[in-house]
Amino acid sequence: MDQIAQTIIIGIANGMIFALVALGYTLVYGIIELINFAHGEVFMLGSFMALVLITTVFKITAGTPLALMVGQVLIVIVITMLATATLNVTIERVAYRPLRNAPKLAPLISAIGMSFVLQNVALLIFGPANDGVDRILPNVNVLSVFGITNVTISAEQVFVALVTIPLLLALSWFVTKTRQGKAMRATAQDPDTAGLMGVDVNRTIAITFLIGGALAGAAGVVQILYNNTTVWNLGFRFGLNSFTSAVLGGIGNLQGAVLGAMVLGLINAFSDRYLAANWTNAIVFAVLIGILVFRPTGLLGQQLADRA
Amino acid sequence: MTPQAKPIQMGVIGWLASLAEAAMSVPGAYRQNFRRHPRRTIILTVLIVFAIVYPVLNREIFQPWNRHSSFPLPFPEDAVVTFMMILSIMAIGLNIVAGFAGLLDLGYVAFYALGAYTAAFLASPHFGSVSVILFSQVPPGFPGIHLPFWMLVPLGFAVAALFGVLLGAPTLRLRGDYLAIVTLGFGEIVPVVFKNLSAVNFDLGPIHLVNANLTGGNLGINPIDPPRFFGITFGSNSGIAAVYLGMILLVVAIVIARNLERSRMGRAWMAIREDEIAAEMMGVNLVRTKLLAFGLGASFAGVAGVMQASYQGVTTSDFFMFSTSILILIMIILGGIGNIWGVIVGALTIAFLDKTFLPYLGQRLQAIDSSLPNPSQFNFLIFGILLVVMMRFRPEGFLPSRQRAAELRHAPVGQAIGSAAVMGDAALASEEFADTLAAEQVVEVEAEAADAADQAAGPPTDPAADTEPPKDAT
Amino acid sequence: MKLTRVGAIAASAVFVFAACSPAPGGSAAAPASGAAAGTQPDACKNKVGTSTSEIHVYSSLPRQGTNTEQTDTLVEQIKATLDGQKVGNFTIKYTDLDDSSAAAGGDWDGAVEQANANKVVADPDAMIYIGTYNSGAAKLSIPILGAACIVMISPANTYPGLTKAVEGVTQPGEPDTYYPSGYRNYARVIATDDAQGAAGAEWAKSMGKTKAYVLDDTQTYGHGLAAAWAIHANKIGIEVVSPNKTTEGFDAKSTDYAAVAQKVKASGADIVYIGSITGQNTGKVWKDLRAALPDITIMSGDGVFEKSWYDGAGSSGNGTFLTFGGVGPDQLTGAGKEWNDKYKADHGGTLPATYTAYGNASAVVALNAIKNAATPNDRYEVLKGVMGTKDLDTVVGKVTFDANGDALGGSISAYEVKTSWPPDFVSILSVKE
Repeated sequence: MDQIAQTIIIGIANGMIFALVALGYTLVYGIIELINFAHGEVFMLGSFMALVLITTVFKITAGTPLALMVGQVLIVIVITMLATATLNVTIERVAYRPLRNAPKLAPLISAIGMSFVLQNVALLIFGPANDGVDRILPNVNVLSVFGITNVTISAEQVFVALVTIPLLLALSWFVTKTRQGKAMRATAQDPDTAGLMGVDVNRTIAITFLIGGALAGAAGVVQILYNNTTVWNLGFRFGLNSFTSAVLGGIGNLQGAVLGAMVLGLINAFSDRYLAANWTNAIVFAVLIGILVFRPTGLLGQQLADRA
Repeated sequence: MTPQAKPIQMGVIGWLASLAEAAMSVPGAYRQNFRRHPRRTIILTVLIVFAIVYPVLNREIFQPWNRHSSFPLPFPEDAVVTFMMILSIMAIGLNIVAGFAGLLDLGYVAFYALGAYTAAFLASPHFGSVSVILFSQVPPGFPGIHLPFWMLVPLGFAVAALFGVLLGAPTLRLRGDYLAIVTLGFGEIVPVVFKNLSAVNFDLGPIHLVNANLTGGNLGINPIDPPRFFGITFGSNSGIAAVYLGMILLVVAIVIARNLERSRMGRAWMAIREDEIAAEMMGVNLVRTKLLAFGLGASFAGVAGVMQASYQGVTTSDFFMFSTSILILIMIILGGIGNIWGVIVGALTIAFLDKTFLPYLGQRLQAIDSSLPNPSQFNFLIFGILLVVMMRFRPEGFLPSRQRAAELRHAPVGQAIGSAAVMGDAALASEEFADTLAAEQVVEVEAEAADAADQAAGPPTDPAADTEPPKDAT
Repeated sequence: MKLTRVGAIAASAVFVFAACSPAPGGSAAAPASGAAAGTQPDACKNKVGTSTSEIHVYSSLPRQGTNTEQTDTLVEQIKATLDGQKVGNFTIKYTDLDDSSAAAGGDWDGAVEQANANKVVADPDAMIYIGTYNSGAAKLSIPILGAACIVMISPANTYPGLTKAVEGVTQPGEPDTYYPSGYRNYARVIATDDAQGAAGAEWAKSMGKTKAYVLDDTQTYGHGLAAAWAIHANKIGIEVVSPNKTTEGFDAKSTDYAAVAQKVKASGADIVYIGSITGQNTGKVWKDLRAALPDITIMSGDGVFEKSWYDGAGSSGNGTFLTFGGVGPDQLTGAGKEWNDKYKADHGGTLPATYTAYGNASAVVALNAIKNAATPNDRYEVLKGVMGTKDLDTVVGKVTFDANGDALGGSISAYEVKTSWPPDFVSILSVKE
């Protein structure tokens, strides 16, 4: 029982990071029907940026006083989100916007190319091995407050939830309640009609990339503080899992992406724990293929765009 | 079974007859081509003659020159040339899937792996507890299963096609980009399966496996029997012989692909690539047509895999990585997606750059000054930039098919200049629809098809098919 | 209609192949008979260089992507030792070949390795081939070189099956399958996985460990090392608690190993053995294991014996026990120490990478063989010289090859990572065969 509870906690913590990255995929796919292969790389660069900020700019360590640490981490999150948002918008400008009217294959291939460029830039700058930072948050079991010691929830796992949940709520509010959010939904449904109705389609798409990039940056910071390490091909690893999450939940569907990410985090954790670690990736893809075959619209169905 | 199964049985004699006919018409067809496109025919002839004599020139002149000269040049070695042939076969196969039918396959390497492991299982001492020898030139009692190369090729073809159909049947009704992700997943799963099945412990009902080594794990399987005909070995240390075997396989692949392209099915593929809905309206059976493209495309990779395993004598899961899938994709995009000659040029160029030229450049630079960077290190950076730039400025590749160029240049799907013409072809492609057409039209199609086959069977022919409606590419 | 013809072409391709396959009894891989030397093999007759002034030595190593960290220093060492050396009337010319490609993701590419081997075979003045870095690549080039009497010296191949059969580790038919010409043309200066794995297991036993969980990165090196460790651990009474009493693979593409760590914790193991190379996400593996199991003993091999591993793992790398196949750079004496000090001085204080010393030793073995050969440009003489290397002083200690081409009496060093890199030397472990 304890073992299962522990595995669930591990799965959900990972699922939250997948969710932040998956939202970027699902937002972009929802609005321009493009699998943004470079998105995982934006996340990877975000985690490197956070690493550099933490280790060399702010020099945050486990010894930093708590109040100062919270403040500095918030600044790191904001700076990283701004940087990755800018990067993502730039990618859209350079690699996707000129191909807006080309057949679908063209931007997809352009995205693959972009992904290779960013990966190799990171490889050249940071080298092939993992780069890490020592654990910053205290190594405590939060549940011990309640007298539970058999199951562990670490400070890192609480931190992941503290960053992820507010961001998800904010995004949900933005998309459903604001004017710009309405414009996004309109563009997703039908860009031509939305354009005729006075929506600036290019601007709306740029804002979508901006939000996706910012979320990827936040995920990068969370990743560094949770895992304490990053590497040049991290984007590929997380990208596959996150995209799978988005498809699992129903691509274009924000709640679906979050749900899919949780499910995928759990599949990963349970496969590692109870099956064999070297089969996990194969299992994840088998699940993906299974979902697409039996329920192509994902668990919650497609909402933002359904033009199939 | 593959869709060709039926014709195979009844067609051998018929084909021999048409082969003779085609062979006799070769000089005539050549002369005709020469009259029509003199410049292109001459260039092509020169190129093909050069390709045929290259291995000999390489052995007799180029490599000795490199050894003795102070200024060596990047002449590809026999092993690299053989792999250029293997990669070209894969490029042609992926071109059927992505170029003709417009289905993006990001895990094409999976079928290559399936072909390679088919050869590895059936022509090596891997299953050493048995000794099954069929027509193969190994001593009786030699451990393992040993089938000759000529049996492995169709088996690799069939296995890859079978898996292509198995994967495609449930997924091909999905939208294009979902297919990309499913194939990507499949491309990741297959090597993992081959890697992990080295110590299988399985106990369920009547099946008991204890540490069963099914695939050799990451060590792979070796030694795999090299191809052997007439007592000649075509392995990795038999010099230029293997290069010619690769060339023969490539020529067969080209002939098959060209015939497919001009077949009714080929036109149906192009129709669904341009506009699925319109094609379906015209009576094209979408799932069957896509499935055929997917299965046939996969089977080319299967044959390439058989050649890889037999030629190298070793196959391991490390050979089948995502980067290989992407590299093949880069080859066909660079060369000109949709055009067989284009993708071959793309494959030869990229393979040459990757395996010979960039390492050579690195060596020359290091010889000048050891602090200079090694350009091989920037390989994927260069290819990535190339993809983005190509999509922006020349999405149709360097040697495009005219139809594809028109499509990629001119805006939204369904409004492409060529689509009306192609749609006409699509109509013909549907059997039901064709039956309702006027008799003379049908006759015309048959005649055209025969003409296509003759051309394909002959030596250098005009790359741009006469059957294509004339359109302006730029 | 049209498809009929296509199918017929496919079918007839088969038919044609069928027609041209008569079956006169050829021979498959002839079994190699024992060691080298004795009588001169046919492959070695009349293999004398044509140049009167040059002898060529080649190396074939992956020179791009994640491999450059190791191979750059290897090449540097070989070049410094060999290039331009004069032996009698001859000058040694060294060429650095790259066996990696983008198609293989920057790792070794079989086609390129074969092309390299064939290129060297075709050069009549080529005497020695230094390489490969990856054992898989060596499988391809040993037979090609063997057919032309070129000897290969590897600074980095640790897979035992290239030179000897080890039960449970190597595959049936190895190593004879790599020597179809009937004689040995391959030697290596580095200890094999089985030796290092066994020594590591003995070390764990001497620490009083009783239950071990064994993990590997599913690569040739990591898996081989971990399997060898597990086999020996079972033999000497350490209970291996990972599934099927053998090593369990972890996927370097995974995003998280917390659940794996939890599994290790639940198994009650008191030691975790990890067979891996640095680039397989090791930083993350160590961090997740340490987070779940702050006090467990972690042991690993020389695949992670480098600073970049410690940089990635950070403080979770502390308390790791490492084995090193050979004499560790800081324990070198005599020539080795001098070399190590000089290296540090030349490279701004950086210690040599794991295989750097082996690169140097390979080149020294090569140079020695050429110098002592009766005719320095006769491949057979050079081959005999290399295979017969005896008590040669190198930076990794005295090198003597046995009949298989393995370095005899190589030592395995034991290290402990305390709180920083480089790790502290513990002892020299005895090598059990």
